[in-house]
Amino acid sequence: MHETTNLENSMLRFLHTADWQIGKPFQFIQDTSKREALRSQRVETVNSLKTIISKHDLEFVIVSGDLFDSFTPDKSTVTKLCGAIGELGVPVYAIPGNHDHAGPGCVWEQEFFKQVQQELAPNFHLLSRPEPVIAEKVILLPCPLTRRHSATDPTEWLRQLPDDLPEDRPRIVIAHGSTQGFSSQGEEDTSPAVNQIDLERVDPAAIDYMALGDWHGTRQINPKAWFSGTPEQDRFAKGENNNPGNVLIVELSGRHSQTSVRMEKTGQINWIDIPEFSLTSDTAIAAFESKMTNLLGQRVQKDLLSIGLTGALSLAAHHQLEQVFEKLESRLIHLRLKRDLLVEPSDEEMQGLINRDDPLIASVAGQLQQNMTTDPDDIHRLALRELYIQVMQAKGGAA
Amino acid sequence: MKLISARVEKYRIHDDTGELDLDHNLILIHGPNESGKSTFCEAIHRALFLKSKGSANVIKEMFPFKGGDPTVTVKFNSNGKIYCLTKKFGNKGTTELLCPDEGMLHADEAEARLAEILQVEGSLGGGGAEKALPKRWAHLWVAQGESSVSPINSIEQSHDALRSQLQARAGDGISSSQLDNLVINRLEKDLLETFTKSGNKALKHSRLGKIQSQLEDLQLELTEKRDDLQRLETAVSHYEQALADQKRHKDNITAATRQLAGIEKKQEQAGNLKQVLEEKSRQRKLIGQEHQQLIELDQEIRALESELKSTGEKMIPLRVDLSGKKSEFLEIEDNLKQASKSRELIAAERSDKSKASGLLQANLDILSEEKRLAALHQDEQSIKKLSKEENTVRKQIASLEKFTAEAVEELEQKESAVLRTKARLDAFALGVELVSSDSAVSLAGEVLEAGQRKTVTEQSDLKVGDKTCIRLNPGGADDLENARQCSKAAETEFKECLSCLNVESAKHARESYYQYKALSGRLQDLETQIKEADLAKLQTEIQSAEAAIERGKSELISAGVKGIPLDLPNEPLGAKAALEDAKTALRQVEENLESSQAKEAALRDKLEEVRRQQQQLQERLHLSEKIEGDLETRLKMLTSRAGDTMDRAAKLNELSSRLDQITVSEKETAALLDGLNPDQLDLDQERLVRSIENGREKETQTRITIETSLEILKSNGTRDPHSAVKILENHVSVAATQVDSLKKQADIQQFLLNLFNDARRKMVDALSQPLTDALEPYLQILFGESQAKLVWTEDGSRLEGFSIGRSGTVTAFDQLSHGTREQVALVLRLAMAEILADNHDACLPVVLDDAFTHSDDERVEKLKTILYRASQGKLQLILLSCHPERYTSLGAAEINIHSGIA
Repeated sequence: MHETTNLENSMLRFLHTADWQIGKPFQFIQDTSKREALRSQRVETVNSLKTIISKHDLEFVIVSGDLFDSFTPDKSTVTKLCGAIGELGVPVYAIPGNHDHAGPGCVWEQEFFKQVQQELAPNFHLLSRPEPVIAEKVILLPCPLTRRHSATDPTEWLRQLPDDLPEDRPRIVIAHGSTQGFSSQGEEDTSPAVNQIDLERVDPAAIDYMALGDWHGTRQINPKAWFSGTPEQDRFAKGENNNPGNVLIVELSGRHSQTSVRMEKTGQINWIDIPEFSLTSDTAIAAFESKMTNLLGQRVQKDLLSIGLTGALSLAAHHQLEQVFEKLESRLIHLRLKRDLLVEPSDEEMQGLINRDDPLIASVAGQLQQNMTTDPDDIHRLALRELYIQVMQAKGGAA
Repeated sequence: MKLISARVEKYRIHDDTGELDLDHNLILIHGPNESGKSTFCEAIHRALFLKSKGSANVIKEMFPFKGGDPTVTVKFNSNGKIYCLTKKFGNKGTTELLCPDEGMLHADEAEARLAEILQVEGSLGGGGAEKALPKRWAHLWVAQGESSVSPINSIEQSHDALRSQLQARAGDGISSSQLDNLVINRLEKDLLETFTKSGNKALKHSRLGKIQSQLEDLQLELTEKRDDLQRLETAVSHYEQALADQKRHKDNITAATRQLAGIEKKQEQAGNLKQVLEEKSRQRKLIGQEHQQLIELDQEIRALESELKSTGEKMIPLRVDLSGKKSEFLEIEDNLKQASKSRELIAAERSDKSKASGLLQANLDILSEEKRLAALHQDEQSIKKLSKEENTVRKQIASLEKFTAEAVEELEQKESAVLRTKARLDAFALGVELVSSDSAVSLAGEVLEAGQRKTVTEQSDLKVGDKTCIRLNPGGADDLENARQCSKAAETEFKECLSCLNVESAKHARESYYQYKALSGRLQDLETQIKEADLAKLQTEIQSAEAAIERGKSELISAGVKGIPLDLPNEPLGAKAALEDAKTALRQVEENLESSQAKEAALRDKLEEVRRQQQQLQERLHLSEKIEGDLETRLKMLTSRAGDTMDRAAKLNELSSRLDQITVSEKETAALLDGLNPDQLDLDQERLVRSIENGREKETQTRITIETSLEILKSNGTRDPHSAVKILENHVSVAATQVDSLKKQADIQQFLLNLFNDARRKMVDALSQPLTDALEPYLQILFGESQAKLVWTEDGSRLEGFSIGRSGTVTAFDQLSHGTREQVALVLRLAMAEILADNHDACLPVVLDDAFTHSDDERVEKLKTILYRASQGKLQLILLSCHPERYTSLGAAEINIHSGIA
């Protein structure tokens, strides 16, 4: 039997967050310093939560899984996270997600983690078993994942909660997985049928708030269930309603009470996705440059840009565009280009190559132009572009 | 430009050539060797290209031995204008050029104008002039010994002019521009810096090579990291599988343990039933045994009674047979005794007969031995006689002097030699007979009487009277002496031999030898006879015969002593007849004895047979009596144990009833036991025990697997393998993309370069065309159908080779024969000169100094045609030769030159 206290009218405020994915490698970024900066930003964003906690006088933090990007993070990553959690100054309750699941060999079982956690983050509480945790003001109902891909609903155990749970304090479910229509799986994995949470089968009367993790955008699923999303965006978001880079401040006034949820922006890094930008003429390059200036403002290495380029450019314009990219790459943390550009010499460029006093260049250019019309092989077009570049560079060198 | 005339003064060998007229298209300058033909042309060449002022060796060597300043005056036509050039060489050298428009130009001004007319880069002077001078118009000025050298090697200074003329003829745009070459060089440089010479492999230090190497390293590292990760994932899989297995094994052990308890309970029940069943079975067996034993006893008693009766009946005939056999035995025994007595009597008779026969035989033996003894004694006498003769012969032999056959022969030979020499000496003897004399006659000092005969064998004086002396020399002095010496020597040898053998004469020796030989033969015969007679053996036989006679007599005497009458015949025939009679009588008695013995033996055998039969009957009777006794004893014993017939029947009924009861009870218990299936229970127990043991073993194994997996999974946390693999995968992907991109870039560049090379080849071919056109008529003269192929440097900027295609075969200039090279070099030179002539008022002089030394007459004829043709075009040809006769039909103006000509 549990002791019953008078908690009926006390207000409970806490921070709901998830999917920190500390240690995410961002392997697609070749520049080591940029990559490390992006990795470090995720820890700094966790650090920044203490300001929100302090500002809103929050009592504890709930992390709905995926604190680490891997279930075998390195020592440095473990230490950084424990340091950040310790700095938060309030109890932090977390469950293992699919990325940092509590399977065999996981970080949570490693001696190193246990030692560092005791030293740096004594306020950290890992809830790795599906059983009620009765705290002073709240009952936590953790639904941890013990493997990356679980075929069973992690909330299944909630369907048979013990009858003797105290009714004097709110009940918070902490779970990690996808709900109907919202899953991070589509973005990363190929098997959507895993880690599925069936909210229909969770008795709403049995709980007061459901702190969900896995979907990286902030989203309310039902009156009591929220995905907090990741506090720091970690990928180019898909879909219009995706809203990453936030935490949730949750207020519960007691068992069976109204829930108040507020979103707080935390993300520092912009992941700009422009699926298509058309460059139909050489003048469009100026428009492109202008758009980039507007987007980035004075920000340096705080943005990642994914852009799909379409259209057709002359050789000179393409050369100019390459210079724009070169500049952009230095401004951005990462530039992902999807080119669907047709680059071929303009009539003027072609005439410039063919009608010149350099007989060999003119002859070769003429032959390539002729071949382009008769042979579908791209080699002629590419060779013509190379010729143009070579001539430009040779002329530059000669000058 | 065409030479009009030239005058050479104070120039080496030439004091003053006077102004020689060169205003012809084809000139043959001839003269003997060392006449200064080459010097003349050299002087013109230096006047055209060497600065007059200077003290370099090239100028010093111009000065003549006699002294004076070398001076050369050349008149030439350029662009229809006649110029007169005069150069006096030396430290204070002067240059004067009289130009039709500008008048007389001097010194540097004249040199500059001259260079302009000749289209060269100024006149040569200073230290470098000597080296540079031969290169000036080297393609037009062929020195001695260079006729077979490719003119392409000598075009260096006029190459640009030639190329420009070729380009002018081929048309505009036929020459690559600087930018063309720059682009090509850039492409080549990029590719050369990227790939090996074969073009198949990227250079190690190229960007592509470095990225490829980096990619390989990354792939290796990725493989290692993937292996690490795989190891972890495998460990997780093993761990989870082991956990599941552990649970399964535990469940299995629990279930098996529960089943085992049930089985063991049933096994206990079955054990109890088995004990009860065994007890009942034991009781059933005891009753059964008792019942069976009683049945067997009853049957045995009945059998004994029957057998006893049968035995009594069988003994009656035995007893009757035994009595008959006893009577028969006694009867045979009496018969046997009578037969023994009769046989003993015949045996005594046989003994007597045998002894008599023995005595007769002994008597006969004595008589035979006595006869043999007499013969033996006779032989003994003969032997003794032979021995006596043997001794006599031995003595005779001993008394003889012994000579060997060889000694006798030698003696005879020496005697014969004496006789022969003597006979020879005698043949020399001179017989002297004084028939009558009125004077005293003496021979060798010995008075010789009338009628007296003398034989002279040695030199002797025959004196007749006092005044007459005749010297006689028989046989001649020398031969006589020689014969005498031979005779003496033979005689001496003979005597020495006689003395040596100690014999008087050869005859004596020979007789002694033959006598000895005859006696020795006889002695040998005697010895053989004596040996063959073997006296010792004979004497032994005599002793043996004497002993036999003695023994026979002793025997007879002994027989007499024993009472056997000794009336024995004393002659052999009678003795033999008596012996035969005695033997016949003995044989009769022996036959009787054998018959008697056979009868006795038959009776003895029959008696023995009857005795055996009697014994057998007796034994059978005894056996039957013993069996009868044993049966009676056994019957009494069994009857005492089992009772009489009535008692036995009652007891059998009781035992049969008890046996039925216990059998029914036993079956009931067995049915209960079968119901429990104890064998199956044992098998089940064994199976379950084994299952539990296996389960525990597997559980232990899974525990070990769990511990091992956890040990592997216990990360040291230094690195995140998942993150490392992701990063490496991306690095590999990026590097592979870069490699692909660079390869593609290289492919494009190579493709572009190939296009440039193709374009350049076409351009070079076009550029070559005017020259090959110029060559064509000359080659036609030389080889008929043929083709010239000019080889340009890769960038088409310079000519670097030349080849000729004939009869489908292309041969490089250097591979041609010496003579052919001379011809081909000439035509190429002429063709190039024709092209270049367009820059020089459509005319250029070509000097050929002794240029056809390797050409035979046939070739020279062709060359003449070529030279003449060339001279009718744009060229002024000047040939130098010390063999003007070779060019008689050339149609050239001739200049005969010799040293110091004027």
